[in-house]
Amino acid sequence: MRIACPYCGERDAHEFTVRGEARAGTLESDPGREFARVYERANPAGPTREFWYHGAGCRSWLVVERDTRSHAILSVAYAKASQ
Amino acid sequence: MSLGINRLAKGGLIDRTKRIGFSFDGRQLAGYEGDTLASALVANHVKLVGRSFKYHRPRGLLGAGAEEPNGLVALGAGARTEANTKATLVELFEGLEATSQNRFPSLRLDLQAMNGLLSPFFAAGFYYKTFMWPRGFWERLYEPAIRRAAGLGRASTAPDPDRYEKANAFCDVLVIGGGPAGLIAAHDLGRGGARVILAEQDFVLGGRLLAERLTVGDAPGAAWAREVERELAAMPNVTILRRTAVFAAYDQGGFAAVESAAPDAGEGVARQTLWRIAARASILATGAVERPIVFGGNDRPGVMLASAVRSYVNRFGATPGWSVAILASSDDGWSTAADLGAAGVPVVAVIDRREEVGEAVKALAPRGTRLILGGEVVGSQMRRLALSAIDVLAKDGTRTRINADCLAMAGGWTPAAGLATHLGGKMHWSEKVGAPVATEAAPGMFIAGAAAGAFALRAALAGGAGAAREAATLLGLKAVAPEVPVASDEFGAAVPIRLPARKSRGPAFVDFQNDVTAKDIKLAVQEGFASPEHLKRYTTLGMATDQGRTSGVNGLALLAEATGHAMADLAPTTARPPDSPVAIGALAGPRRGRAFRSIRRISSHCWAEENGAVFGEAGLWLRPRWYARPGEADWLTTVTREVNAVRGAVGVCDVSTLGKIDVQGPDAGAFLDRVYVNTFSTLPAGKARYGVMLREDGIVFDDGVTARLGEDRYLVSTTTANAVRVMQHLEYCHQVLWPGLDVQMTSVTEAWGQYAIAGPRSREVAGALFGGGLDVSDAAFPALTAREVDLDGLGARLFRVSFSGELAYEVAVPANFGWQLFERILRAGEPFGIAPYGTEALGVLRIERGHVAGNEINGQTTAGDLGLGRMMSAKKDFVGKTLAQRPGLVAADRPVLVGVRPVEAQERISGGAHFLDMGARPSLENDLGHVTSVAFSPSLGAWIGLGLLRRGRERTGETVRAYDPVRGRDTAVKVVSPIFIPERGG
Amino acid sequence: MAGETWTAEPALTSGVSRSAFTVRELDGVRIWTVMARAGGVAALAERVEAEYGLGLPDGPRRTANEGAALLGIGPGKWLLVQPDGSPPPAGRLGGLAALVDQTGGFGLLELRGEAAREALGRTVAVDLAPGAFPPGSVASTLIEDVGIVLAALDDAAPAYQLFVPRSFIGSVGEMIARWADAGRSAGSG
Repeated sequence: MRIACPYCGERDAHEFTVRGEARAGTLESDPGREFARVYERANPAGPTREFWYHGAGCRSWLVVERDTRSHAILSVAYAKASQ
Repeated sequence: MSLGINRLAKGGLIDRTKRIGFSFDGRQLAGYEGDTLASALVANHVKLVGRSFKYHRPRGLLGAGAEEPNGLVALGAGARTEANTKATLVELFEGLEATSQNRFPSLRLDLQAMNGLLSPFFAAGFYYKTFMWPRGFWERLYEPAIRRAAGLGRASTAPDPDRYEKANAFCDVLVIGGGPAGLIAAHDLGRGGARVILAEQDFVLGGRLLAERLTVGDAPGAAWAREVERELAAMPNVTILRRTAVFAAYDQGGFAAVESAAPDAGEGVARQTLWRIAARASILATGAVERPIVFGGNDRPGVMLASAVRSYVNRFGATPGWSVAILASSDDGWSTAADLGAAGVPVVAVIDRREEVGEAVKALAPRGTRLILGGEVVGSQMRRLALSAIDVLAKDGTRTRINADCLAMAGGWTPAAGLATHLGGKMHWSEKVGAPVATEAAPGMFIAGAAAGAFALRAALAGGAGAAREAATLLGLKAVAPEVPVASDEFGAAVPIRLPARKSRGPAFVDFQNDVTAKDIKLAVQEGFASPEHLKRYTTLGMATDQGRTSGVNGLALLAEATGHAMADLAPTTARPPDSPVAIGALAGPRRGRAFRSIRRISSHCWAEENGAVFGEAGLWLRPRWYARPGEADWLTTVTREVNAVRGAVGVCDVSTLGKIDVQGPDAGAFLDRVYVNTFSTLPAGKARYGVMLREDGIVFDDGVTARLGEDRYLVSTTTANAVRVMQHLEYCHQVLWPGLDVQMTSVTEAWGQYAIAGPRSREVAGALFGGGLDVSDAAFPALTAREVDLDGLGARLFRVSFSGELAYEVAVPANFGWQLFERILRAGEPFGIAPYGTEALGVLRIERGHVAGNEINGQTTAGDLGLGRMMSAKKDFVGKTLAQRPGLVAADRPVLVGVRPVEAQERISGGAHFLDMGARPSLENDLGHVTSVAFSPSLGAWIGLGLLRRGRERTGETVRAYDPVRGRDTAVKVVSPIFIPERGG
Repeated sequence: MAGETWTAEPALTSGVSRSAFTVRELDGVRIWTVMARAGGVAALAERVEAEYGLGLPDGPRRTANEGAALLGIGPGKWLLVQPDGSPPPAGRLGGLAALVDQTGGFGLLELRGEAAREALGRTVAVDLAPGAFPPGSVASTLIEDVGIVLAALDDAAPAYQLFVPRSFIGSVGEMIARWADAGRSAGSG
């Protein structure tokens, strides 16, 4: 699998680690909302947005839009910019 | 050494000036350069090459390429033995030693041929119906017996002496297959300037052109292929990889291939190279595989695929027999008659299953050849373990026996497009092609030639050129397309009849390697295994090393007949990587033994090596566990000495491996406040503070002492094991959670060599080290001071922090001066009895002090569990705060940190022992927690431990059991404070 | 202790000298990580231009002159390389960026020659063909399992700089020796 890092260009997947589905937002003090932010995932059969870390490259955190059925990568953007 | 009585006097693409000697089953034989092992065996009239898997039937070669199911031999000897190698893919080389497999005592006399008599019991599914009873017999009797009888070849158990490599390659277009379609595609794209990699499994380019008498333009096919190869080799933008099998297609244009070294490559050359190729587009031109015809006795040595017969005759100048019969189901098989006739090999009969055959086709057979139209072969005869005659059933019902020592079967072609389905693409039955074709290939993959169902040469060339154009268009490149050369058209396009022969006697084989017959398929359907997927798994059809290349479609046809379904309704099973076998050595590449992972070394590594250090792995780091001195009896003696040195005088330890992260910026303090449970924005510059970090779910993540070196500058320290993970976490917090903060961070673990000087005399050592340059007194440098200092003109850092509870300093200099600092510390400390200490002593010291480490921060413990709950600030938000309050994580009966000491003074405690109440039965319900860390404490003269015990703090002074059934220890322990030794001057 | 001198120790303690390509460790340089303050890239670029006469790379590229080299290693992050004895960057870029001295943390290797390019090209999972990785290109990537920064120098012949984390330099040296050996006995079909 190859991911097009916005800084480094297209790289093999082994340079990255995936954290999981991208959830917007930051720390919540309400337990229900924090639980949802940390644990709950939509897990669709189709396009999904995920957090990936380019640890072996520029160390950018990225939001990758990927189709879970076909593995096609639809978009890659800096996590920081998309806030 | 005979030259082979089946070698034709002329013809073939072999080099008759270069004779090559080899041996098969101990017989010395000879062949020529350009031969495969298989063709050399054919030329030497070797009919018998192996015994089949289940029934041990005598077998000869069926094919001439990767589809070969019978000719599996063991190459080489000793450590270099390669079992289950297809003789058809082995390039002949001088001194090659091959042995047949799966037979005892010999190929001609194999005792297990008796299995054939038991064949009714070995029918499909017998694995599921036998060896069930009595249950106890499985382990003692059945399994060992099966293990001895099972398998084909025997692998070597010696370490592999060969070198393997891995390499990366990039291109615009990967052309997979160097036959006519692949060659023309690579040529067009290469001339247009695209970066092309052409991968061909064989050691010569040309594909079917090498095996058939076809012309391209006005040149023979093989000569055209050579000319194209010459032109490709001259293009700097084209790379040709011969002997290279592409075995996997991955997402986004990734491919994996194995390249084998030429047999005459020297010792130092890697035997196999695993290529990881990134291609923007690909062209799959992997050709097609001919199908055998299913009839009783169709597996005798001498019964072969017609295309294989043509390959042996035309490419290798060897004939499989001298009275050859041909069984055709389409025009394609007839060209075999023409080729044999041209080579002077007698054709005894051509049997075509069709009733009508065109005159032009009939004219391909040599004049006078017996022609039987509308006939079937229904049986075969064997003499001296080779085919001697075939039984033919004419359309009027009469049976005739025809003497023949070779039968060429032409059962139609199946595209070999397995790679197209690696990424979820499917194969669908095509009436037009008479075989499954891939309808949706991977994105950017174009299928051309026989792999796309275009079996005729002209169509293959057109397809290759077309695919090149499509790939070029996709990538915005030029494909220079010269006119597709006029090629001789062969009678290959007609669709053959598929149904297997009726009324045949004897086992009719479908899968030759796994010994699956037509009867097995009927049986499977009877028992309810009626889908292709179930059929495959119940009968093992298609599961051998040939992966169903010759058996898949025939199996589907029989399934269709048995179930009454149409072929179009049956989906062939999905092909998955690897498409061809890959040696484990190739997957490992150079990463084996000591080179398995890279090693990280500390600055004092060489000194440690020279001074008795015994190293241990901490992640990728090598760290001294202790420094053995001559005469010390065991590690416990050494470690005890080191601990006593630190507690009694002074010791020095290399602590460079702990993570160090430089965090700067106007919001650095605010950032750390959100990451740690306690506050760092209030830490004065020049001071350090112990901090604890939680994960988002409230569990403790890591701990360390963080220093504030300036208004906007902090130095975060982490444990060795978590250095990389903490860096990733901080980057996550900064880039994802709070991108608005003005903070910058970078790892400086590598940049500093850091050493802990610990013990009551450490201040004196530090003083000596700095000379008069720095006041290290308690007043001037109190506990938890952290400053940038000058050490003889070098920018250094000095921290007064203690892991051991003793008075201690940590000194750091840039790592390229680390070794020198270490030596200076040793010299400065000599008058005070300084001793270096390693990670074991470090562990004892911290356990005596009740400091938590990785054993306690184990991914399941909260700050409260570890006695650090009071550090959590109520006044600020931080990562993990909310979820740490969940009822389950604050429950009163959670296991919490305690210390334990054996009640009987000299007893040992086991790490990992579970706590039970005295007298309680060991069970999950009665489990109260476990011992996390143990050490022998020299200071206390006894074994001590830290552990997690339910309601541990309420049970101080009580006695519980530390139960370790694995090592047979059951120790009564007293629950005590985890702090065994009070802080002294830290 | 007082009055003793310090001698910078090379990272690559075993010399890797093979005939196929040249490898040497560069000494006499100092290396910093430069990280722009939030929103401060433009101002930093201006200051860098003024102080060093160099453009601040806005991607994975290298700009260099006699006085310094800057390599883009991530958004808002660079490596600054200066000869020993140059005025430290704190005085010149202070306030506009976080500056962290990383000199001790790297072994800086230079590899030259066509064989070097081929060996690197096979091992690094980045396309190093001259069209794809021209002089002035930078990649933060892996060689096998070691994270490095790779730069293609602006030279007539192929020349590369490899920033290797100091603790890994022994393993990387062994890797290079393996490539050199493979290159010498090359001859696969």
